[in-house]
Amino acid sequence: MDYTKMAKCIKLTFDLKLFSFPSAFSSAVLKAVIHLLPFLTFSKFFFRKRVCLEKFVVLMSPPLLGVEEEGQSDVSSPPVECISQNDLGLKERNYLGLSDCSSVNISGVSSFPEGNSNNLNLKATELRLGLPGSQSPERDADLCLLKSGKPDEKPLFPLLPSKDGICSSSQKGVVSGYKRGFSDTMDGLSPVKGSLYTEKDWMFCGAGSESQPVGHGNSGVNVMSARSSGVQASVKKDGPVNAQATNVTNLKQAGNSNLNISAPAAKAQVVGWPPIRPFRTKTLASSSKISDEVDGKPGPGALFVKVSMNGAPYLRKVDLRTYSTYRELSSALGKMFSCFTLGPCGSHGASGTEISSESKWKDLSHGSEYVLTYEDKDGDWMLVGDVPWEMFIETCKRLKIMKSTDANGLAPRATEKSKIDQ
Amino acid sequence: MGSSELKRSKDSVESARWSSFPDEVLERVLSLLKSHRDRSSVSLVCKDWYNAERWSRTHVFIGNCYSVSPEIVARRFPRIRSVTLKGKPRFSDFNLVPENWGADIHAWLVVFAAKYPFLEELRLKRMAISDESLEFLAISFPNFKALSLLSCDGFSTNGLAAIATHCKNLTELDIQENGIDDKGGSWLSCFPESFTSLEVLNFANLTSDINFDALEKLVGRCKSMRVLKLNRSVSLEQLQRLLVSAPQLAELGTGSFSQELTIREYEELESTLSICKNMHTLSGLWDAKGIYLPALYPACSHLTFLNLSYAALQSVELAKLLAHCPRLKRLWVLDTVEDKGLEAVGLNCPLLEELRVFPADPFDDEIVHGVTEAGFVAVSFGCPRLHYVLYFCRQMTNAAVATIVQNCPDFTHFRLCIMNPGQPDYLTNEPMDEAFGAVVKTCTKLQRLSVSGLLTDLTFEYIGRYAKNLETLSVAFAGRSDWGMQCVLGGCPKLRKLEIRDCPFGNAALLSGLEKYESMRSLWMSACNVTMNGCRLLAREMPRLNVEVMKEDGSDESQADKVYVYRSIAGPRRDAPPSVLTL
Repeated sequence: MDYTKMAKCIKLTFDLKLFSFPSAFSSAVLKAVIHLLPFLTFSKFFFRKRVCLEKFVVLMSPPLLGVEEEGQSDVSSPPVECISQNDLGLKERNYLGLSDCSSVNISGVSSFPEGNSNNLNLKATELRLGLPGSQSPERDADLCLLKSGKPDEKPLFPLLPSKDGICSSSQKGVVSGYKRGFSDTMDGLSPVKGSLYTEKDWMFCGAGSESQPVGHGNSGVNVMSARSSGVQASVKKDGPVNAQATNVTNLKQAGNSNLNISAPAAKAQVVGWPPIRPFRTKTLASSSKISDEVDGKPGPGALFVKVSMNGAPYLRKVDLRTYSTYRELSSALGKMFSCFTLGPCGSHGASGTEISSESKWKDLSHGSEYVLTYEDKDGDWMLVGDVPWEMFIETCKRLKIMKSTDANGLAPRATEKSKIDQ
Repeated sequence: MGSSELKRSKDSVESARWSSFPDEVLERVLSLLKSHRDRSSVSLVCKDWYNAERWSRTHVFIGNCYSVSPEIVARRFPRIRSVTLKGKPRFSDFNLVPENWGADIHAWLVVFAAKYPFLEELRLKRMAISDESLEFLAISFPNFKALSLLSCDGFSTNGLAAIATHCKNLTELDIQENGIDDKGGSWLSCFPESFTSLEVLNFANLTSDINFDALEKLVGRCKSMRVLKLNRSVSLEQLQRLLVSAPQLAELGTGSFSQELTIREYEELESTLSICKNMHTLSGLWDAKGIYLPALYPACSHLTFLNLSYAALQSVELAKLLAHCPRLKRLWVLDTVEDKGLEAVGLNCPLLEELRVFPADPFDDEIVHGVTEAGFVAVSFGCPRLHYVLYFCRQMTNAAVATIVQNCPDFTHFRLCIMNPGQPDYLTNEPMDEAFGAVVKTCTKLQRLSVSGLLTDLTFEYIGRYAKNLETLSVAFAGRSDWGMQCVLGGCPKLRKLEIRDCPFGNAALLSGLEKYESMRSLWMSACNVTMNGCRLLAREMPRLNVEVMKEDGSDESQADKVYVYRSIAGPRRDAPPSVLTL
């Protein structure tokens, strides 16, 4: 199974997980999803011209690169069945669950015909598993197809084998999105959000050559700085011109006639958004940088660590200070990641969510499926639950939800300790 | 008598009838008029009044530096002492305008040096100003008193040194949020020993360390100083020393508020601050540590403007501080205070008129923190006088906005930024049309509106139909078709500035406003669907408009990536860089 198909299946998985649930639950989940993905909601992909696609791409690729094949196929094969079972019964919806929506709106597209609801840029939402910056030949072709021709050409990759037309957002957005994927992600593979680029580029643009990697909470600071140095290199105007040139050339070669490539790839994906003056972002960035340098030390204030999960398309951050026991942490994480751990076809009543996710998490964490691990200050990956809570939050830099099979070889935890609470 | 003489005598007879008092009296009366809009109206009454007005005007406000040339200004107003100039389009603040776009002050300074040798004040916003220009300014105007630079760029601290060195009568040096090349703090030492006239000193924008000794001496000898805004490099201990010599300060911007203090030092600071009874504006508070905030409490009793937008306070800290600020009218905070902090605002500040909530982490999507609609609603319940709001949030609902404007119907400035472009009402998943519909229907005094979130053309129908006093509209990632923009251009009789980015508005929309643009200051459209042909057509039909297109590298030939249209009596400008095409 090549990456593209895998990606499509996984994407369908996510879509169907929402669709196949009873509507009450699905709206609750949708709400949660919207909460969880303030910048990553698919609506953004639909509506924004310059799409933060590579944000998605970057998120997808590094964590998933580490995932074995079977991990992928585990996730993806059930959905295929689900698709066939469910798609006929499904109303055509966009990712937010809006159906035939007058409310769906895509900015930057004057092209779509009147009454053309469900304007989905599905290409943009397609999950990509390749290395950031790499393109499968199919994707090239996709890009070409998307870009060639006039604005009112529809995208060619419907979400479901669906009937009426699904419009792309303006090609500009899509391609710019991909473009972004090239230059800025070429340097590193760490799971950094694309918005980080936005921020850095933002600061670079506003602050001349000043380069301050922006802190994003405690964990992954090392990652961040590695990333940022990578990004810096590509972002600075006298940076690797090759990356940018290649980028632009690729797109030009792709027959991109209607592209509105905003600025060289070095600029922020959505330039100038949110509308905040550079002085302010620079100042706030440097304050958070200062506070990040003292991170990891217990003290007042929040202690954010990133939580990643194999198979999940995005990271979450949790404030370890809001929990006082392992149980609290695990139940919170269980809720956060329940949509992934519960499997694509599981359908649970809304009332049952609370209980089921926690117990499910416990089952999962005890039993077979997932374990919670963390990276400590020395860079070692340990199983969560071995050390007292206070010591844990002092040393924890990053959390990761792994499949227990992957967790072999980690510092073993006492198996008698079946309850990971204090 | 020749016909011209006949005409002239007729005119003078006419005018003698109408202006029944001498010119000097008229000028004297008109000199009391400060508002430039009133003055514009006055100048349209008749020729005599036009002349009286132009001779009595001492302050000129030019909202778009390219709408008029310095020569024309100098010709019309011979007695100007104070100039306010705005240059680049507002979106240049967000890096949407190429760097060398223009708006250079130098040509203006040259004319002013010749025509207004007694110029006293210069206030610039979004202009390009070089060190050479600053030096030229400092040398050419012996009476120069006040320089205010906001959001400008192109200069460094060397330029400030020139100002400090040469402007013997300087009363105001206000450097705010500029793209300044900070080469160090030695410029402060350039104020001569004999210099005592400074009343306003704001260098909060600068990042480098300053010579504290020089500053202390300067503050010590400038007894009329009423506004002092320090930069981050000034510590708490240094602040305390400065305040000892300047207890009369009305506006204080602290430096960094996080130094480790001993008990004694803290008490000293507290007692010094308690002497500052005149303080009505407090800002700075960089890196403010909650434990030191109580030192401010005694100084807050008369506070009307509190700017905490660089202090990442938590909700509890803010609540405690606000309990001491009952007279607060303007409050700027970071969204670290969260909804709970805003609830405290609603509880403690009944006189609040302006609220700005900035995002502490605007580009970090993962942290679901900051403020929500609940905070805004809480403020609206507690602060019925609220009329200016700038609110950055990550979620909003139509119902919340409806409640807010019901509580506060007097909004004049409503700037809501839902940071995720195109995000719908998070509860109902509907577009945010009804929210902004409620705003324009309820707030009849609305002058400025910034919209965000998922918006269809319905929003713009509402705006066009109801926003009768709207002057400035900012739109991003919104709308569905040309009809939206057409509604706005067809409604909104008082529209002056329209700035649009990333919306599906094309040539039909652009050209629907043909008659409108001359009554507006400017129009900005970027990343929309406007083509070069549309712009050329506009330029051809409306010769008194300057139509400028900024092309980006590698973009399609026929697309007009960024369009800036403005009225001008100075004709097309000649200083545009190659990336800017004037059609």
